[in-house]
Amino acid sequence: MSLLDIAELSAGYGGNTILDGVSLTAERGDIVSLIGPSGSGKSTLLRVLIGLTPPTGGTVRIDGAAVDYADSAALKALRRRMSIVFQQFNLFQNMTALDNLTLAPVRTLGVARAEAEARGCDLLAKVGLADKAGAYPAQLSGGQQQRVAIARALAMQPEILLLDEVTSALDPERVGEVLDTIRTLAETGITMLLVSHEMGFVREISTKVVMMDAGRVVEAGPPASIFESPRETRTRSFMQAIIRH
Amino acid sequence: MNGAAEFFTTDTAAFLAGALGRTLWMTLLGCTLGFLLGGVLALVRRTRQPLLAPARLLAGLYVETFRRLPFLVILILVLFSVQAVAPGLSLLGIATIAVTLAATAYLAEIIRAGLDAVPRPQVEGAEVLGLSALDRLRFVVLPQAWGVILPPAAAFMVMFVKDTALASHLGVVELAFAGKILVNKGFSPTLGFGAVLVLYALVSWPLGRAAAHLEKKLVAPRHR
Amino acid sequence: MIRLLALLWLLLAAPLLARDLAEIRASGTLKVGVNPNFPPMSSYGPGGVLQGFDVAVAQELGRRLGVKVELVPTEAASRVPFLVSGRIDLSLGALTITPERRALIDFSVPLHSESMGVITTDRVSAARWQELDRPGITLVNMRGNQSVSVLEELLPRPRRLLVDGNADTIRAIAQGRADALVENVDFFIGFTKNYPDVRWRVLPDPIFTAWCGVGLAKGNEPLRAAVDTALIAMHQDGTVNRLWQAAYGAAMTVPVGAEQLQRAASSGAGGYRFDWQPVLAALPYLAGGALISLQIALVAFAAGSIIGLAAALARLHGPSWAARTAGFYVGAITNTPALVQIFLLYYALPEVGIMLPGIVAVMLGLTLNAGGYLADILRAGIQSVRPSEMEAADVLGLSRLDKLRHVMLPHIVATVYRPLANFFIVLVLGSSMAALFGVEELTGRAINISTANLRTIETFAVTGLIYIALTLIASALLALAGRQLFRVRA
Ligand SMILES: Nc1ncnc2c1ncn2[C@@H]1O[C@H](COP(=O)(O)OP(=O)(O)O)[C@@H](O)[C@H]1O
Ligand SMILES: [Mg+2]
Repeated sequence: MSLLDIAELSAGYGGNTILDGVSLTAERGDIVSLIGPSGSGKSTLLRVLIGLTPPTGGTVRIDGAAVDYADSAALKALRRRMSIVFQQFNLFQNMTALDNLTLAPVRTLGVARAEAEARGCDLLAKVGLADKAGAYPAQLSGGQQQRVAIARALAMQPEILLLDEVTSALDPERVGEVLDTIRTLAETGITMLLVSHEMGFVREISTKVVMMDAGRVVEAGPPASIFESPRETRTRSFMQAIIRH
Repeated sequence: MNGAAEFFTTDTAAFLAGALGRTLWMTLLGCTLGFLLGGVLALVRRTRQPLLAPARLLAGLYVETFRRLPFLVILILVLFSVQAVAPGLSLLGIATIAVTLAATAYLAEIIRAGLDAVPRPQVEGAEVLGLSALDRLRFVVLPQAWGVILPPAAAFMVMFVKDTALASHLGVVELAFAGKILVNKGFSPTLGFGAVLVLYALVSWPLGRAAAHLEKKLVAPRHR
Repeated sequence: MIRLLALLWLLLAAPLLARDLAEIRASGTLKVGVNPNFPPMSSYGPGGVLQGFDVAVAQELGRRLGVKVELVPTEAASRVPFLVSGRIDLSLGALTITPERRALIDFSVPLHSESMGVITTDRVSAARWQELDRPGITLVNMRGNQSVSVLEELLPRPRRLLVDGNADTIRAIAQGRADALVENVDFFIGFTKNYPDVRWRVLPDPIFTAWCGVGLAKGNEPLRAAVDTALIAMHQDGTVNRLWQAAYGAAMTVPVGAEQLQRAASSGAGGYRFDWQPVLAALPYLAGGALISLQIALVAFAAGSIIGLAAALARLHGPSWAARTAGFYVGAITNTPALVQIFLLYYALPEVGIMLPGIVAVMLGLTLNAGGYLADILRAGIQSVRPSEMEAADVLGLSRLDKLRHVMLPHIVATVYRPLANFFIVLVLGSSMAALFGVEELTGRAINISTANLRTIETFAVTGLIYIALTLIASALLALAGRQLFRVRA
C-alpha cells in the first residue's frame, strides 16, 4: 500500500477545470518532483492535497484511508501528517522566527511551550539559523525566511512534506542554501512532493519525476528515464525549452 | 444682557465642565461599545459557512443602513423607539445608544478593512498548520490588523466628539446645548458659542494629534 | 436591525407601557414632564434646580396623590410621545387641550387658560392683530405648539418661521428675523428682558382663549380621576391662582371658571397603534424636502471645493503667511462641530449687524466646514503626483497644460475621487442639521409633520428610508461617473 495515493483528482476555480484527473502515488521515503510549464496546475495540486482548495472529484488516500476534504476534523488530522512550504514563505510577520515555529505545535498538538521552544531551536539549528530565533521575518533575507518556513513545516513532524517552488522567489546566490537544506532533509527519509524548476537538483534528488501539463500528468518515472529518454513529445519540448536557457 | 464679567465665573465653568463631561462620556462609551459590536459585525461578515449566510446579510444590511442615515435622524428614531423598551433610560443614555448604533456601523467597516488588509497567504499559512479559526484570528490576523484598524478608529472617535453636538436636539446638556442655554440666559452668542467652540477644539486637537501619532507609530515597518 | 426589534417591541408591548395609578403609588414616584426652557412655567434656577409654576403644580399634585415627584425635562414636541410611551406619567408644559391630541392622549380638567395675543416691536405698524394679516410680515412660532395650525387659519397671509425653543422666538424678533409672535403673551414676555434695546409692544386685544390641562396616557382612568380630584380641589381652595400669581406676578388673564371643571368621559383603550397613513400622505412634501437637502449638499460641496483647493495650494505652495493661515483655518474647522460653527453664524453674526436667514447660515457654515475637510483631501491628491514623473515630463519637453492634463491630473483624480465621493455623502447626511435652523429640508419637514401628526416613529422611519435611497442613488451615480469619466473605481 502506498503512503500517498492520488486517483483521478480534479479541481477548478469557478467552473474552470484546473486539475483534470491527476493520478500519482508516492511510497514512504519517496521524493517526487513535479515539473511542467507554468500554469499547468502543479501549485493547485499541492493546494488541493493540503486542503486549501476543495477537490471537485477523485480521491486522495493516505495509508489507504481516503481523506474527506469537506470534513474539518479530517482536515485537522490530515494537516498533522502533511505540511507545506510556500513559494512566498508566508511566515507570520508579527512573530519572531522561533514563535513562528512554536505557535502550531503549542496550539494544535498540545505540546508544552518549553518543549516546543527546545524543539524549535533544534530545528532552527538544523536549517543553519540557530542565531536568528529572535528575529522577525522582515529582518531576515529571503533565503533565511524560506529556511525558517521549512523549519516551521517540520515542527509539525509531518510524514509528507509539500514544497512549492521554494527557491523561485530567492536571489540566485541564496538558492544554494535552501537546496542544501532540502538535501539534508531528504536524507532523513521524509516523504516529499516538490515543485521545482531547478532541473539539475530535481534530477539529483528525486526518486520519481512527474511531468504535468494542462492539469494532467503527461508522464511519470524515474529521473533518468524522464530526463534522458522521455516518451512523450510534450515532455521533450519542455526539456528542450528549459535547457535552451 | 449679561456681560463678559458674569460669564467668566466658577458657576459657568462648572456648568461647561459638566457638559464637556457628558460630551466625552457619550463619545467614549458609545464608540467603545460600537467598536466591540462593530468587531462582531466585521467578523460575521468574514465567515464563509453557508449556514451563516443570513447573518452575513443582516450584518451587511445593518452597516449599509446606518452609514446612510443622518445622525440626527438616528437620534430621533432612537429617542422614540428605545424608550419603549426602557422608558426609564435617561436622555444621555438614549444619546449614547444612538452614538453606539452609528459608531457600530462605521467602525465595522474600519475593522473589516483592517482585517482584509492582512494578506491572504498569512491566513493560509496558519490554516495549513491546523490552527483553528479562532487561533488564526487571535495569533495571526488580529496582531497584524491592529496597526491598520486603530489609527482610523481613533480618528473616527475624535470626529464623533463633534458629531455628538447633535444630541443637543434631544435635550442632552452636552457642550453644544450648554452653549445654547448660556445664550438663552442672556449671554452674548459670540461669547457663549465661542467658548464652546474653543472647548471642542481643546479636546479634539490633542486627541487628533494623538491619533496621528498612533498612526505613524503603528504603520511604521515592523522592525524592532 | 436593533431598531426594527425595538419597533416590534413597541408594537407588541405598547398597551402595557403607561403606568397606572397603582403602579405609580407602589413605586412612590410620579414622573411629570415639564419644559426646562419655559420661564416662568419651568426653567433651571440657581443650582440647576427646576422652578416655576408648573414645578410648583407638580409638587402640589404629588403631595395630594401621596407620591414623590420626579421632574422629567420634556421639550414641547416630545410631550405627547413621552406620554404614549410611558416615559412620563403626566405632562405639564402648557399642553393645550385639542381634538388632535385627544386622539392620542387624555386630559385632566383645565389647569390654566391660554390667551393668544401679539408680541411685536415698534418696527411693525399694527394696532390690532388683524392688521398683521399681510404679506411682508413674518410670524415666528414654535414647532409643536398647537397655535401653529390655528394661526394658519386666522392669519393666512404672513410668512412663517418655525423655531425650536421659547427663547428662540423672542430672539428671532429681536434680531429682525421675524416681526411678531402670536402666542400666549404671559408665556413669552419674560424673554424680552434679554433684549432691553428693542422697543417691545404687546397688542391689547386677545385673539382667543384656549385651555391647558394635564396630559396623561389614554385609558388610564384611575390616574385621571385622581388628578382631576386634586386639580378641582386646587382650583377651589385657590392654590392654582396663588401659584400663578407667585410665578407671573399677575393674575391669570382669563381665570378657570366652575363651568370648565367638568370631568371628561372615559376615552377608551390606551396604547400605541402604528398609523402610516399620515406620513405616506406627506410623501410628496418629504420628497420636496429631499431635493432641498440635495441642493444644500451640492452648494456646500461645490463652494467648499473651491475654498478647499485654495487652502490646499496655499499650504503646499503659498508664502508662509498664507500657508499658516490656511493651516489655522483647516485646524479650526476640523476640530470643532459644524453645528456650533453654524450656531455662531446664525446667532452671533447679528451682533455685528449681519443677519443671515437660516438656509444661508447653514449653506455658508457647511461650505466653510466642507472647505476644511476638502482641503485635506485635495492636499493628499496634489501630493500624490510623483516628482520623478514630473521630471520625466520636463525632460520630454511637455507643455504646462500637457503636464497638468496627462501627468498630474490622473494621479490627483485617482487619489481624491473616492474620498470626495464619500464626503459628498457625508454632506448629504450633514445637511440635516439645517432643520435646527428652521430650514425645511428633509429632516426639517419630517420634524414639522411629526409634530403635527404626532407620528414620530412612522415619520422618521420613512424619512430614514428616503435618506438611504437618496445616498444610494448618489453613490451609484458617483461610481458610474468615476468609471465613465475618470476611469477610477469609486
Ligand atoms: N485562485 C485562483 N483563481 C482562479 N484561477 C486560478 C487561481 N489560482 C490558479 N489559477 C489558475 O489555475 C491554473 C493553474 O495554476 P497553478 O496551479 O498555479 O499552476 P502552476 O503552479 O503549475 O504554475 C492557472 O491557469 C491559473 O491561472
Ligand atoms: Mg505554481
